[in-house]
Amino acid sequence: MSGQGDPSGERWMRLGLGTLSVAIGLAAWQALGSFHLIPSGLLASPEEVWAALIDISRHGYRGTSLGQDIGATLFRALAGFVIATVIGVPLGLWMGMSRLTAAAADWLVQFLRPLPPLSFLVLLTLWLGTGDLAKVGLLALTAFPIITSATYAAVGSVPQQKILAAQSLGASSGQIFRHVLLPAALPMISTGLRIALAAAFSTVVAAELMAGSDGLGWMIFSASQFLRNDIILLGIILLGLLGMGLNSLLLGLDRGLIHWRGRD
Amino acid sequence: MPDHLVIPAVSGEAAPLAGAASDFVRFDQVSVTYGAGTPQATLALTPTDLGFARGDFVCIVGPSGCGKTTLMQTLAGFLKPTGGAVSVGDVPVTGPGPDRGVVFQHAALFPWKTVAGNAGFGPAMRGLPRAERRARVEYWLNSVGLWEFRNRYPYQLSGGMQQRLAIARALANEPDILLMDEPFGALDALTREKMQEELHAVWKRRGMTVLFITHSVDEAVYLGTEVVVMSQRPGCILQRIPAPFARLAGERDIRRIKAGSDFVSLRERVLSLIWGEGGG
Repeated sequence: MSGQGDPSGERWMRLGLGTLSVAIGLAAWQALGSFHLIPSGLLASPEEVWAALIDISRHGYRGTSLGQDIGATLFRALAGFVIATVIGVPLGLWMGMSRLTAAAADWLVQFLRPLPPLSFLVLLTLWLGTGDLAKVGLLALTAFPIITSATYAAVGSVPQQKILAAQSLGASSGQIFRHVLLPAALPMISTGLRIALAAAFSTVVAAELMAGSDGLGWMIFSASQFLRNDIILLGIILLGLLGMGLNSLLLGLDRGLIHWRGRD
Repeated sequence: MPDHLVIPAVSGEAAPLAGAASDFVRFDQVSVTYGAGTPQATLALTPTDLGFARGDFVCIVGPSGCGKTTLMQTLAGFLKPTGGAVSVGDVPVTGPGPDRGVVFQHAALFPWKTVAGNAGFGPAMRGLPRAERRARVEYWLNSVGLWEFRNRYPYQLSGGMQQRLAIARALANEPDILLMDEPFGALDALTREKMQEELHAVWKRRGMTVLFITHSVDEAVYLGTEVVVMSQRPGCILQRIPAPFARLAGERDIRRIKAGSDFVSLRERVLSLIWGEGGG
């Protein structure tokens, strides 16, 4: 009753409209160049970007292959995200269950959360060098407060009645944590993880802009110094697709594993 | 069909006698003040004495804010009384425990577990042997007519089925006392009447002690061995009225009982108590 018509029709509708809007976007892009609305030197056409993709995937860009750039960016984003998850989820859970921990950690997390991560970048680079360590650290710092506060809030939103019900059925506090609190909090934690991954991913480019010799962000930065706007556009498109891919990967996991999301 | 199943590890006692001398459940001068010590302190329950025997089916009725849920929560162990003490079989209540099963108005199920997983939650948490757990789940899911839905999830069930599952979940733990806070309040009239019948049958078969909160005087008079009428602001017990219909022998005909003059006059008596209160 809660669904909207038949699901396969819905899927075709989404696929059709999605394709249509991408096509319109591409056509508009093409038109901007063809009608000289933007000088041709400043906006590469779709064909030129396609050609750049072929060229770079064959010969690489300034000594690094395309796979290496994509791999470096993916690795940094995921490594930072995983570190933040491994620390942030347990800390958020602990804060949700212990008022003392919450009181001790909450200000720190709330202080970190609104800070632009890039403000740390110079310090981190000075401390940790220009390699991956500083970049991964930056991304972990970006994702950590998001994950921690989402997890903390998730525990707080677990209905009290479910916990009381479990207690009345004889569950110990450890069992309540495992069988009630954690699964009840999981949908909100998962949403927090997706937001954090997107934040980490959008920061990775900025981190690569400042210092580095590979990664998609570096490629964009380097290309902009040579005014190669075909490669800039290519980098942007690849980043967007990669971000979409990561998000839908997490979304797929969420849908597959957390079947009780939004249901009570 | 469910009644023909053999349930393991359950003593087959007959329905207990009314008015046993010693009180199994006792409230001694139990009072509850919300926000005690603050300017917003509200007396929810004046010092209250109440006791009842093993096997009693005690129904509490009264207007909203009369403290009936508060009273039950002190027995469930969810709420520590501001004054007085609650005890079960002379053991003081200090917190929630599996000897006192609770059914809430809204089922409070675990949507990440299947129907069978919900029904078997208590036995699993308490570490009962697997075979015993399975037998209990099968028995109680059959009792409430949900065995064929055992592999579904709670959100795939209707509201009435969810409530039946919540009852099965509480009963599979085989508690001494069953606490029910308006368990049928959210159900339509037809489902509600069916559930009353099922609950009554289970109570009669198992001889357990029930504390049942309801807004429906009809339901209270029909199900209870005793109707406790409470009054509001601050909450207190107005009167305790024994009711004979729960222990009627022989074939039960809900329509005939509820249409009978005994039933109607008792219901009117309870209603006039409540209305006399509400009208001021």
